This record gives sequence, structure tokens and C-alpha cells, in this order.
Amino acid sequence: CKVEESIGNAVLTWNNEILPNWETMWCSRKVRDLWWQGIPPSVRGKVWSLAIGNELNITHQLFDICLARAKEKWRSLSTGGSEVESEDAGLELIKLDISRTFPNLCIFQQGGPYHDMLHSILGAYTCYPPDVGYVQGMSFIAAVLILNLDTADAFIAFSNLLNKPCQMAFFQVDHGLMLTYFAAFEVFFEENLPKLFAHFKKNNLTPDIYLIDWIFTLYSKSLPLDLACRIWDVFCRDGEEFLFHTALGILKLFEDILTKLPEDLPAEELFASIATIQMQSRNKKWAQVLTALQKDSCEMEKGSPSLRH
Amino acid sequence: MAKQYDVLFRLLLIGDSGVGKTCLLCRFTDNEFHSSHISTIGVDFKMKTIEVDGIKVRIQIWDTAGQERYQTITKQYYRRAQGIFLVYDISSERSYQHIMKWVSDVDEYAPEGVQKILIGNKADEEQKRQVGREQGQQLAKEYGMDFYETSACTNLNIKESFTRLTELVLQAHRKELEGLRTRASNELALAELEEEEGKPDGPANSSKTCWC
Repeated sequence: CKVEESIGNAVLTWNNEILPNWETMWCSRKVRDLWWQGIPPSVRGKVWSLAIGNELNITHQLFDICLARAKEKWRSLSTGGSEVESEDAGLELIKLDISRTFPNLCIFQQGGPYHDMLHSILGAYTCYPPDVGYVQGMSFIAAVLILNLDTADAFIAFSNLLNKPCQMAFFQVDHGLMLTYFAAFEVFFEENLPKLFAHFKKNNLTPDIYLIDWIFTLYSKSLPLDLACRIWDVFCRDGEEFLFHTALGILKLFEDILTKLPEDLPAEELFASIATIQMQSRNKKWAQVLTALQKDSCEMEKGSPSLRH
Repeated sequence: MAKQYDVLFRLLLIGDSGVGKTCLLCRFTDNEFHSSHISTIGVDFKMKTIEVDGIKVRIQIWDTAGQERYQTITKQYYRRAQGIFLVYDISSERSYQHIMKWVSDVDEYAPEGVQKILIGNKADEEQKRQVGREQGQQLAKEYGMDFYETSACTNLNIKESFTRLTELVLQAHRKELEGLRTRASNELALAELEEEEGKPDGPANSSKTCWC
């Protein structure tokens, strides 16, 4: 079969050529092209780890320490009665949310094969940078990582991923900064899809309504999981910009319908649609637009009306 | 050009994580129940049209994430609501205690005159019950709200509570509705009325058919 053969070839290329020479090769044209076509599942975890990096310098040992602390807290929670401090409410919420993470896959639920891993990563994270803690939506990100990486490596990728500016803004629910992201998104929305943009404006449909879910869960909740992984592939390569780039690709693809995402969304079509989106507005790239908007605090006043105040 | 509905209302579901807000909504709009639901991130909504008192009411029901951290986001939707369900779980004392906090948020962020009802969900879980029916009644009375114990699982009081809140919202807007009734046969007049209703809030609320 041709598809299998090409996946097989891709695996060989990734394993034998790209991964051993990561630093020099990862940003080459050839690798970027191969990357766009989707990373083969067998090397996906490795590539994601390398692309996300480990700016925080988290070691397996540090993960063990955080996990041990989380376990200690859980123990005291289960013996401590009903009065729970608000900082520990997150730990309770994790228990609730684990069973509500991809429930149809039946692998994260109590007794499922990945339940403990998901529990460990989220628990350990609440003991890592205590200023963020557990926020709903994180369980989906951790779950996708677990499907591709070992527990400790998934934790490292998870913490570093959430440490990126866009994820930090959203998970800390930094309202002003979220509005800035929405405003930057709208610049490219109007540029690429002026008719739809006007239609949304007229109907008071603000980007927060659809972007919040997409950005918080990195599309893992709203797209089929294998397709979400392909979005993650390029997100790991291109960073936050690709999340908004994808959103515009989806909007363009469904410009005519725009009601609900169908169950079987063709990957080729979506990627073709994403590829046609211009991520340049008046000669400015995403990062430039975002920075300009961030600097201009007055611009924030003009953000999504529904999230203003 | 017959319209599918006469008026549009926005209702909002709030309460702690895991009390069953999404389940209530799915039972009401799709008559479905899943014991393990996917968590709500930020906000979500569903629509349903029901007929109350001869008026076709399109209700847009906003479902919110229960985690406190999300409140910066969810409170933005309060001011667009005409009716609010405050939901707790009868098997969770804590979710009941938190209703006080949710009520004070409503007072702070929702428009004046917003209609509220109190819901004690998961009424089917009698063996795990931590909050007595009379406690729910008592609390509702204190705040001057109607009260229902519901079960999305067994479909207890779902339609009743959604219909009741819709009735309350309709009553609260009775003045506008009288105009609607007397002129109901006249599509043009109806459209005019909706235009008028849209005006007071200015361009930010340009959707014509709702009282925002």
C-alpha cells in the first residue's frame, strides 16, 4: 500500500536523518515540508519534545519531587474532611476532570490505562509553578501529550508548553492579554475573509466565543484527535501563530456553512485551506502585529466587545 | 417570510464544576444524557425553541465553565442574560454552600431585573444526598427564587424548570409582550417592535430580536 510505504519512508527519514542532526536540520526547507505533511506517530513524541524544548530545565528528578508533593497533598485531602482550602480545590477539580477528558476514548477514566498518568502529570503541575495551578482545559493538553510520550517527558513538554506566552496568557486568564490576542486575530480575519468578518461583526459574533475553546485545548476537544495531532505538529514548529492561522483556516473552510464542525473533517482540505491563509497584514507578520497591539494599550479598548470592561 | 420564533431570550447556567450544568442543557435541548461528560471550557451554548403562552420563544442557553479561575471570562456573559439558573448538586454540600457566592456574582454582573431560579441537580442520587430538599427550598425562599430539584439522568423537572424560567422572563418583559400579542398577526409590526427593543443598548447589541 502506497500510504503505508510513504509513512514508512518518512519514519526512516525522521529517525535516521533528521533526529540525529536536529539542531542543524530542523529548520531546513526539506524538514519543514515533511513536517507539514504530518509527523509519523512513532516519532511524533520525540519531535514534539525537541520542538517544544525545555527552557525550564525540568528534569525527571524534579518531576518525581513534584509528584511526591502532589501525592502528599492528596493523602491529606482524603483524610482531612470536607473543608478544603481554595488552593487545593484544584486538586479536587483534577479528579473530576480526568474522567471528563476524552470520555469516549475510555482510557483516562478511573480504571483506564492512562488514568494514573494523567492524574500524576496534572497533580505534579499544581506543585510546580504554584502561581498557575490547575485550570480546566489543561487535562486535554496533558492527555494528548500522554498519548505520545512517557509520563516524565510528557510532564516536561506540558510545563514548557504552558510556559509559552500565549498559553500563559490564557491559562492565567489574563483578560487584557487575551483581548490583545483576539484583536490580533481579527486583523488577519478581516484581511483574509472580509465578507465573513463583516457577517460576524454584524451578528455580534465575537472571537472569544469560538477561540477560547480552541486555544485553551489546542483544538484537541473540537477536532478529531488524529487531526488535532497534526495541528499540534505544526504548532510545535511555528508556535502560537499557527493556532490563529488554523482558526482562520477552519473559518474559511466553513465559510458557507458555519454552524457546526462535522465529525469527519478531511485533513487535506483543512490543510489546503490553512495554507492559503496569508499570515501577513500590511507587510507585518503575526509577531509584529501582536507586539504593536500589546504596546498600544489604547488598542485594548477596542477589543472584543463582549469581553470588554 | 414567516419567522421561526417571536422572541429570543438568553439564559445562563452557572454553578460549581461538575454539578451537571452541561447535562441539564443536553437533556433539555437534545434529550440526551451521558454520565461522563466532557468538561466545558470557557462558554458554550445551545438553542431551542419552545412555546409558552402562545408565544414561540427561541432560547439561547449559555453554559459556563464552573472553575473559579474562568470567572473573568464567564462574568462577561452575565450582562447579556435575561434569566439565570443557579445550579448545585444535591450530593455536594460544598456546591450548595457556594450558591451564595454565585448569587452575589449575579448581583454584581447581571442586569437588574434578571430572573433567577435555583436548581438542585442529581436528584436521582438519593443515597449520596448531602443537601435536603427543604434546605434548597429555604435558600430559594431567602433569595426570592423558584426552586426545582432536577435529574438530567432520569429527566426529572428538566422541561419544567426551563419552561418556568422562560415564563418568568416573559413575565418580566410583559409590557413589551403586550405589544407583541396585539400585533402578533402582523409580521411587519413585529419587526418594528424588535427594532425598538434593540435600540436602547446601542450598537453593541445589534441583534434585533432580544432584550439585552
